[in-house]
Formats: sequence, C-alpha cells, structure tokens
Amino acid sequence: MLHSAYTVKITSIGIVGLALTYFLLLGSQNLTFFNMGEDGPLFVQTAKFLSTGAPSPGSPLFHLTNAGWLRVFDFGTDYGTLVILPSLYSAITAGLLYLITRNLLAPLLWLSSGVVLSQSTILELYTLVTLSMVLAYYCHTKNHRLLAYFIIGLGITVHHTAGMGLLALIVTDFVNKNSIKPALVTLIPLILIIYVPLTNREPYYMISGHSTSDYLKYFFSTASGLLGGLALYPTDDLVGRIWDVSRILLGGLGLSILLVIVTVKQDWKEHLLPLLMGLLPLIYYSTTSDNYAYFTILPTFAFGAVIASKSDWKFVKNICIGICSILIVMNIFLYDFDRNDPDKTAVQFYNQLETLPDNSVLETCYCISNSIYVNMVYLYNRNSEKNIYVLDTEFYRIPRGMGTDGKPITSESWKQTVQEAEEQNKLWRVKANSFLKGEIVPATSKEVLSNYLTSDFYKETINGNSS
Amino acid sequence: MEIARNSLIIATLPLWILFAYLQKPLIIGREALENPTSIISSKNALFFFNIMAVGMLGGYIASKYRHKKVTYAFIQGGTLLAVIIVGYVTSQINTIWLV
Repeated sequence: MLHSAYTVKITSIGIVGLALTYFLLLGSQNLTFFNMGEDGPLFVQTAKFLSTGAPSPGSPLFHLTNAGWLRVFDFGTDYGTLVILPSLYSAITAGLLYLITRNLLAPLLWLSSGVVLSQSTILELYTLVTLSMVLAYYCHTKNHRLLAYFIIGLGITVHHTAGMGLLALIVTDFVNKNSIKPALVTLIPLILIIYVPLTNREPYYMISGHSTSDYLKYFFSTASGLLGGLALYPTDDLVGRIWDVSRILLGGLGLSILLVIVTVKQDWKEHLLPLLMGLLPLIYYSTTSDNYAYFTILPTFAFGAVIASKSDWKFVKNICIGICSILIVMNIFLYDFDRNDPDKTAVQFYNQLETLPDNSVLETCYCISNSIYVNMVYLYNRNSEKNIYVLDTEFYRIPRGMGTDGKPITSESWKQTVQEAEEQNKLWRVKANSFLKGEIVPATSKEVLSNYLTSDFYKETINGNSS
Repeated sequence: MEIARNSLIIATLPLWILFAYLQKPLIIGREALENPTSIISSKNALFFFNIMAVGMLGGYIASKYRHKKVTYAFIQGGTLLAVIIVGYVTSQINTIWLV
C-alpha cells in the first residue's frame, strides 16, 4: 500500500515533467495574435511595472506571481520568461489529476484537449484558475475543508470564475449536511485585492481615477454580461453558441462524455462536487456574451476528466486513453498556427511603433479582438516612455474616456485630437485587412472619423451609455 | 447487444476527431481573423481516423468470432476491403469539399 502511494506520487511528478515539456514545445515564444493572446502585453506590463490589469477582480495573485518570477528568472524576453508559468500551472494540474484519480485517463484528457493546449501555451491566467479549483477539490476530498475554501479564495484573486468553485463547495457541503462556516475562510485571500488601488496610478489605463464609482465600474462591468444570458439573443447567436459549445466540448472530451454521464447517473451525490465544478463554468460560457470566452470552461475539462476516470466501463476508458494519446501526438506534429513566424506575431506590430514620432495618434482597426493593439501600445509607452494615443472602441470602454495622459476625453476633444494630429502628420492607422501584420500607415482624419461616427458604439458613447 | 453497443462506440470515434478539428479555428482565434482553411492538415487526421475506426470496428467484430476460422477470415477480409473503399471515397470528398 505504501509502495503504491509512493508510486502514484512519483508518477504524478513524472506527468508534470512530461506535460511541461509538451507545453513548452508548443508554446509561443513571443507576443502573439493567436490563441486569443491579446492579454499578453497587458500581463507583461503588470509584471514589469506592477500596474492594474484587466478586471475582474484585478488578478492580484497572478500579477504578483508573475512579477516575482520575472525578477528572479530571465529566459531571453519578458514574454518568454513569463509564458512558462501558465504552462507550469497546467502541467501541475495534469499531475494533480493523476494524483486524484490514479488513472492515466484524467491527465491524458486534460493534455489532449485543444482548449487546454491553447491556454497553456500563451501568457494567460486561466490555467492558474483551474489549478486552484482542482487543488481545492483535492483538499475537499481529503477532508481539509478549511484549506479548500482558502485555496478557492486564492483562485478568486486570479479570476472571478473561480467563484463558481466556491459555489460548488458550498452547495456540496450543504447537501452533505456539513457546516458551511468554513466558507468564511474564502474572505482571507481576498485581502490581496488591495493590490488594485495600490497600483492604480497615472497614466490611468483600466481605471480612470480613484473614486468609488471608478472602482465599482472596474469590478463589476465585465461581469454584467452574466445577468441577462445575452448569448441567447438574437436566435442566431443561440444557434452559434450551441455550435461553439458542442465543438469545444465534443472535440475536447469526446467519447469520455459518455463515461461522465454513466458515472453520474450511477450515483450523482457522490460526484456532486466535481459535477458542479465542471458544469457551472460550462453554463457561464454558454450564456456569456462573448463566444471567445471559451477559456472559462477549462475547469469543465478538468472535472469531466475526474468523473470519467472514476467510471468502471473499461472498454470505453481504454479507447479514450488510446485516442487521447494519439491526439497528443497529433498536437505535437500538427498543432501549428505560425505562432513563431516573425511575420505573423504581434512583435512586428510592436516594432513599427518605434518608427512613430512622439505624441502620435494611432487608430487601430475597427474590428474584433483589436485590444491586443491597444495593450501593445500601452506596453510600448511604458517601455519607451513615449506617448502614443490609441483610438479605438477599447478607448471608449474606459469610463468617461480617459486618455493615456489621464485627461478626460469628450467626443469633441477626441475629434480635435484627431484633426490636430493630421495637421502635424502624426495621424496613423492600422491598415485594414492586415490584422496579422498590423501594418501601420499614415491616415487622414476623414478616414478615421468615418469609422466611428457611423457606428452604434460611438453613438451610444456620445449619449453617455457606454458599456 | 454488447457487440452492437461497442461497435457503435467505435464507429463514433471519427466524430471526436472531427470536432477536435472543428474547434481549432475558434480556440486559436484564426476564425476571427481569416479563413481558417489554412490551418494545419487536420483533414488528413480525419481521413486517417475514418480508416482507423473502420479497421478497429472490423477487428473488434472479428475478435468475437476468433474460434470460427472461416467467419473470422471473412470479416477480416471484409474489413480490409471496407478500409480501402472508405479511404478512397473520403479522399475524394476531402479533395472536393475541404481544399
């Protein structure tokens, strides 16, 4: 028995090592447009300069860990150094899944999933959120409930989706007639959120000032999409979302979904905690307004793998193990998306910023996922101590439209900024249809303004109804 | 009954790979940026898995008749023929639809 426990631990450590190698092999070495890596430049910025990051709730644990790591290690570039951490979190999750289930199926399902792979190979925080939830689950199964709640509290200081883990723990304890007083321990790690006001300083980016209203908007505006089930309207969005959920879920868990259903059906109460921990993030994604928020269902894969591994249907389990192994091999050889092609990474865009004169005004393309341009420009401003204004939809998402200099922007002053920049030959835009290259070309105020004046988003902003 | 159920399970394997292929444009973001047809050569993987599933299915059914040599050989031969047919037909579909 002792030998068996020892073997399990050694195997878990081996899985962590192999998984880390796998992720590092496929990881992006620099800032990338792919895998929705648009937060990368923001997280490099927060790690280097200890500034506020994306809501909510400001991810203090993630930023502080990154900042510490960056000050101890150097693997070439800032991004290259930091991107190891998400891979490491994901690899530890794989090891932990084996430790929990003592079955190879769980880590294999985790590692073969495309969503897991894509999020483990860029600078993002969702693998850390999932790790916190899996660790909390592990502690709960070992009857360390206080520790489980404490860890889920730490998870919430990385991203609010860990709150669904808290809900799962409370419901499980309630159903099993355990005291839910230990849930109060969750509040202790939340003290880390003090990081947000401490690091909120000029030039403001995510928060436009220090008023209560500024902070309320920061903490609660991004979660507002949860309230209305916005993805369900209009009907074509519903169909589109069903399609997105289906292909992500079936492509990741595949046949093992059958194992999950059969296992839960046998005794739902026994599997209530992993079921809720996996199901709640899936419901969150299904109803949230952005279909590119698929990364919130990483816990669904982890806990789906946990439940599937507990099945005693050996025939299907063996098939799943075989297919997952093949998928991992296929990922190694086929999961290529030009992530390291210098012509198709965000670095090319960043390098062009050096050629722009100080106080230039740059309009990024009016399209989806352009926040990487904004984040890149802010990173550049920080690194070079130059000042380049960015004009795009993101600009107006900031309450009351504060510029990089901290001055409030109104629609009139905004127009004036564009026109003055044109007169001084400092008006630029990202060429349309060049998203992957981010080619910067001179622009006219007519071109820039025409993009916005006709848009609903702009009209709403002028009317003070900006989201 | 068990043979039918397990055969059905094996027959669904290409669907797993199909969905894994179809999710990639979304999860790497290419779907938002450009036409995703240039992504890797996963259609080869689909092709491979169709053949593999047919092979596995034939092999599984044949294993249930291992003691009846003639039936066993007949199923294995039929499986080989099915693999060739499925391989040929799907290669044509790939050429027409997915290139």
